[in-house]
Amino acid sequence: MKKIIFATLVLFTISAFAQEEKVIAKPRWKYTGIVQGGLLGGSSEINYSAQTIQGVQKGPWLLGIGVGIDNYVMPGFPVVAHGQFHYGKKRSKPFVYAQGGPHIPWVKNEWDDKLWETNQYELNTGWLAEGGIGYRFPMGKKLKLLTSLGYSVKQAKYDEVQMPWSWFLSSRWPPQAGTPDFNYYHQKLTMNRLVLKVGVQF
Amino acid sequence: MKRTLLALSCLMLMISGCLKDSLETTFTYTLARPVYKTSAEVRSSIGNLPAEPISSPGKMYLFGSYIFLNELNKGVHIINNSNPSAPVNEAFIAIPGCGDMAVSGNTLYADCYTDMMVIDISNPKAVALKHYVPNLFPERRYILGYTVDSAKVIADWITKDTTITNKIDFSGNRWFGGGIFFESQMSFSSFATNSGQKANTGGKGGSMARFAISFAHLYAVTTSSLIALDLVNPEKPVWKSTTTLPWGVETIYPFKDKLFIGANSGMHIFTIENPAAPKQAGTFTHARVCDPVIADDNFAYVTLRSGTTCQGFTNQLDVVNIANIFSPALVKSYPLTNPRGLDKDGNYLYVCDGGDALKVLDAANVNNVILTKTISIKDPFDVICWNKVAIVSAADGLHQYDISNVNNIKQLSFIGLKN
Repeated sequence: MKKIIFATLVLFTISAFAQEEKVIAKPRWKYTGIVQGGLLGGSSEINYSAQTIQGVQKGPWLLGIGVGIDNYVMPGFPVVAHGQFHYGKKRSKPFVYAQGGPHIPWVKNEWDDKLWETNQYELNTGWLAEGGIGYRFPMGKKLKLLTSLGYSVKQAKYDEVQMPWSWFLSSRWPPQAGTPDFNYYHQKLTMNRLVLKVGVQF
Repeated sequence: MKRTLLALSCLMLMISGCLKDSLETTFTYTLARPVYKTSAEVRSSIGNLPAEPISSPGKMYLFGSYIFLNELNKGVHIINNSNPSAPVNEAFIAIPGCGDMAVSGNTLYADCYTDMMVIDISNPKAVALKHYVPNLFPERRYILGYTVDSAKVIADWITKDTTITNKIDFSGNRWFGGGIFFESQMSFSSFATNSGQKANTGGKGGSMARFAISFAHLYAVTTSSLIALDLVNPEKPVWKSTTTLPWGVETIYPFKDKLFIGANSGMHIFTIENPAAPKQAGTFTHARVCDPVIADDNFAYVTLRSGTTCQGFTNQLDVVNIANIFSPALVKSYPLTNPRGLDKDGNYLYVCDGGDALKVLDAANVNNVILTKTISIKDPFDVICWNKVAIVSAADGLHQYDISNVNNIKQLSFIGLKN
């Protein structure tokens, strides 16, 4: 009986130590990076995007900051906060992701000269939000191949200044007080796209 | 299999519905209704009013010890500047629709909508309309799509603001490709004859002026023309010629026997050997922007400014060699913030730049123009240097500075706006 009790105690102790070791081996936040390119498809056109995400990963979570190029209709540089959650414990596993942040336009001003009118566009910072699902494949020891399909909304804000043809005929410099020389339009262009991305995590 | 296909088709339909781009437009517009007056009514309202506080300062013209300061669309302030440290706002001449003026002797020439008024100012407190030249600026008959006949002018507007928001599906073209359309470039043209007469100026206008007096002639520029009027009889100017210019003319600056005309596509140089018929000598073409200009014997100084009215994306000072007026050549460009009027005193350029600065630039070496001082002024518009005093018209009023020592520029006086 004593032997049985002793053996049980030993096993319990070993088991307790083993559990303690598990606690010690708990995953930590580690640096990770992603470089990916994608195709954006919406009602206006199909165009490309490219992005790099620098962040940290711990267990199923990946958090980071992404910068890139979004060349859909109104090109710009999105700067986003990125979150990604992986399912399963295999090296090959699915994930969901979400990202969002400001979209900084490529150019701040642009002119559109026509025979009958001249428009000026003053582009302001808009925003971008995206979410989707993907799959991660191992590629060697450290690299992983990422593929994802997502839904992306980009809103560009700009002011359009229209100079009517009559301005050239009527206006003097400086413009006459009290006469409305220009038409100002505040525009919000919302672009809904599907985004297909392929990239590498390292 | 059929169910899967059906589900996929439904999914595709749902997604395609979500993938439409949309454009939401918020437009605040002003509905403006013109208030008409007959030309006779307008002329009858021209005359003296008690000295008024400045509320909307515009262009300036210096004559003798007086500053003539335009009150945009309302008239001209007459400021006795015998003592620049204590200028006296002596009188106000009501001239509806006035934006430009020039003075010669005791006569003030001012635009009044489509006409030019000739006003005797020998007694600034009791001015008298002597004559008018009708329809000298016909382009001002077309205002925002309204056309008025020769007997009427639009004297005011009754306005009402309205805001509408409208959302539409957008499936447009690619709009913003990232290109800048107006690249700076130069080209030259030359036509005219030799120059070589002596200077003759009645007073001094700013670099933003549209009127200039030289060789007993008044020159006025409209958006697309140069008009010459003979002032042999100062009270009865006689039209001599109208020269058509490319669209977008903004300013005129006389120097000796030349006229420098600033337009939004370039600077035109005219000789006035025959004052009644200016002849174009050369053109310095630049990016499409606003460009007041001044000049001396060898160089023209052109400030290029972008903005809603001016278009373009260039903000700089161009120094142009005009030794050969038939082929002006860029010496060097210097970046600025958003320059407007400028003037030169000795080797120093005074440039109204950006929203808050009068900049002093050492231009002794045109290949190395150096910023020497920045004077903080709210929205300076134009500057005239005269007798070591810089007079600056700005959004907040009229400033004067003692510039006798560039290293120690002192404010002499300031006439602020009415509260």
